[in-house]
Amino acid sequence: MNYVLHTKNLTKIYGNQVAVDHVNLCVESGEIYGLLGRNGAGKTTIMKMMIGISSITEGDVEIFGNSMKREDKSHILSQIGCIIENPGFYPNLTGSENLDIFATLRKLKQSDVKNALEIVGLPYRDKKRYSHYSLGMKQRLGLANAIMHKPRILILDEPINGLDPIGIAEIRQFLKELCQSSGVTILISSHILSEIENLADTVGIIHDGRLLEEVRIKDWAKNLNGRIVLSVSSPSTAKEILKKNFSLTDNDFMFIDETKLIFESRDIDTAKITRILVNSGVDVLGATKEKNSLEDYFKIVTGGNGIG
Amino acid sequence: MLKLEFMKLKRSYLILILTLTIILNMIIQFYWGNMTYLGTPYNNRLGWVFDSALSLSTYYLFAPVFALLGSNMIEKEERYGTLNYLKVIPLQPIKILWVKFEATFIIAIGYSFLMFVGIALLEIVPHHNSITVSFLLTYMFRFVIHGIGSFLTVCPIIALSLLLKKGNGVSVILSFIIAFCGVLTASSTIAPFYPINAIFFISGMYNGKASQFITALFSLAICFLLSILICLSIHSACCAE
Amino acid sequence: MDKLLICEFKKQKRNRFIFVSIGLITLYLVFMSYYVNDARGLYSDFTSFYKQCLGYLCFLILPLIIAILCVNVFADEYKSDALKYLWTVPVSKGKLVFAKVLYIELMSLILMLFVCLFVIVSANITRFSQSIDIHSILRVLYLCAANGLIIPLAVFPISIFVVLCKGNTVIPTILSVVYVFLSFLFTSPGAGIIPLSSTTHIIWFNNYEGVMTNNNIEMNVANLSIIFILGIVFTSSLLKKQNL
Repeated sequence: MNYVLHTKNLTKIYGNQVAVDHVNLCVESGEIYGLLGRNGAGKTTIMKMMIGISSITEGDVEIFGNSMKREDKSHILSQIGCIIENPGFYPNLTGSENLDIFATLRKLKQSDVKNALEIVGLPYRDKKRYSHYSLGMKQRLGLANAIMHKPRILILDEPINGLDPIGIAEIRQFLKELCQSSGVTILISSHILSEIENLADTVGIIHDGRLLEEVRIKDWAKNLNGRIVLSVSSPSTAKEILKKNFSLTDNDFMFIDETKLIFESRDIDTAKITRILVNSGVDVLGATKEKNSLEDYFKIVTGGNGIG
Repeated sequence: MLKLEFMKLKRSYLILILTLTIILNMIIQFYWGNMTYLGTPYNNRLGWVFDSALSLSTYYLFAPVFALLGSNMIEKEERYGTLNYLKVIPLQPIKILWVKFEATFIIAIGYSFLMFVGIALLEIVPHHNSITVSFLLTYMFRFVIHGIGSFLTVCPIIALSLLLKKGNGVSVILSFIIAFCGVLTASSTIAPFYPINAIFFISGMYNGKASQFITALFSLAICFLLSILICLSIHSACCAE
Repeated sequence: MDKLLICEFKKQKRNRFIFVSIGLITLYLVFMSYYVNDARGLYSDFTSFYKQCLGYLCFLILPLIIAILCVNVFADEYKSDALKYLWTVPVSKGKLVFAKVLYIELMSLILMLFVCLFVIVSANITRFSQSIDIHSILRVLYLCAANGLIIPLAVFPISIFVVLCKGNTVIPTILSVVYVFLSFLFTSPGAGIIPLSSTTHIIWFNNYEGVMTNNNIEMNVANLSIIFILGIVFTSSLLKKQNL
């Protein structure tokens, strides 16, 4: 496997608190890796350790086969573009002037600044200072700074924060194209699960500093256990019939009340269910098959109430 | 609201640093007091340490410290974005500014009183036989007056800091210059007009005429009125927005 | 290094601090020129004029302005949150610190050259124009340039506190005020101990204007150099170890 980014038992401890606990994640070359987790799960801390702005307590990060614990990281960092937490720019300067500074330090040309601003939809050489930018504009400028030097890896911490729906769609399209056409590897974290579902090739779920699951979206979609929602006259009777006929257990049933019954589908045909229930004397008012969303999967894996 | 201002200072190292400046002043006065002139230490005279400490604090310490405290309180609200939340409560900008002035005023009194307590130890130890309560009360009154006077002098600077983005640094430099220029104007005819020197007339450190006393009061009152004018202008500008 | 220095200047665009500082210095010099011009009994020639003008300015005002400039230059990186992006460029911590030192030196020199010009021009329009000659002009130029270049070296270690406090300006500013006024009060006994006091003895060496200085210039230079180098080393190593 060609891993461009690889963490080995990556750990971060603040005093008595373990913020990141022996995380082993692997990002293949040219893929989009989505990092999911609740607030405070450790996503940003992991990203900070990856780019070297936070020290590693234990373990290591390897990028292009080079350890990030070494003193001289300049040749690795020059191939990484990132947005960590909020974009950080000088409030007294305009967007172009801010990028000029980083372009000068990276030895880039003015055309690189102009191209980057065009891609993210910000004006070149305008007079608006960064302190007057909206949140969405700030995020776009952060993205422009990250892509300006044509990096091989992008590490993006919630890059679509504050963007409007059109902006989100544009960025999603841009990141996909970047990945497909230029082979850029992208590690992205977000709270918007539907976006990660649409964008990422692989998803890593972080909870309380630990990497719980790494799932390839294609494989997950194939083996997707959907669910069936039945509206019946007697859900408890229907439950017993289904257990008997389809070898279901109590654990397969997610929800039951006076009118509704929800359970894992496991490729069970709804027409067959309806026939069996009707023949057994249970009135079926409705039967629908629903796909498990990433949010549902996230809840199951983390055992919690969702991404919030 | 005043209580809330002090809550905002919780876990701030500011109190520690202010205490260190008091200790530093004590060390300086101890060192100077033990320097001799014609074989006699300066601190042999009762009240020398108080006078020296009061002059040093007024010309070099009080003004920049109070200007920094006040402008920082105002600037922090702007910097952390909490000013918008306060306006939405709703709180008038003038009320927000006024409370910060009140808080700085109380800190000014507290700081000058603590300075008095620290310096009093240096006076009491060598002169414990001759020191009287009225003597101590007189100097306590002087220290507090100097604290209040220095605060009034820098009020316009604190008010202006809202207009300046890097208000902290500029307010410190400006107040420092204003304060130490008092050393140069101390023996001139404009002394009662100059706010820093005016404080010495009001506290009784300088034995002046009644007209000089009134002029000194007037000088500090102008500083205070100027700060109110600046605050009102800022308030009306904020309301117009 | 030159790119870092250029970026330091770019970062300060639309920053009013330097202009406000020039304004304050101008106000002070106008006041001082008037005061000295008026005090006929005390000041008789150009030497006494510039000595009085430069005296308090170089002992108190300039060090405080440079200290606050130093605090702002470091604190701005933390406040704008740009520091983490600078490290990912990557920019060497040592080089960044050195670039800031150079920037502060240049700004200090610009301020003092302005002061030099002001002193010479105001002496020409007051009663001291008769006593101006080329030697005294060169002497003023030397004093201004020396103050402009040497004082930032003494004041730079304040940056350690800015980095320690992660961009908090209040504590380093109070420490700057205390440092400046301590060095002023203890100019003589502080020679060779307090770097800012040592600068006075270095710059005004040789008693030309009757300023009493400590003759052990090697001790003063060593004190200043050691503290400055330690300042750079500590600031760089704190930046290296700091988690953002």
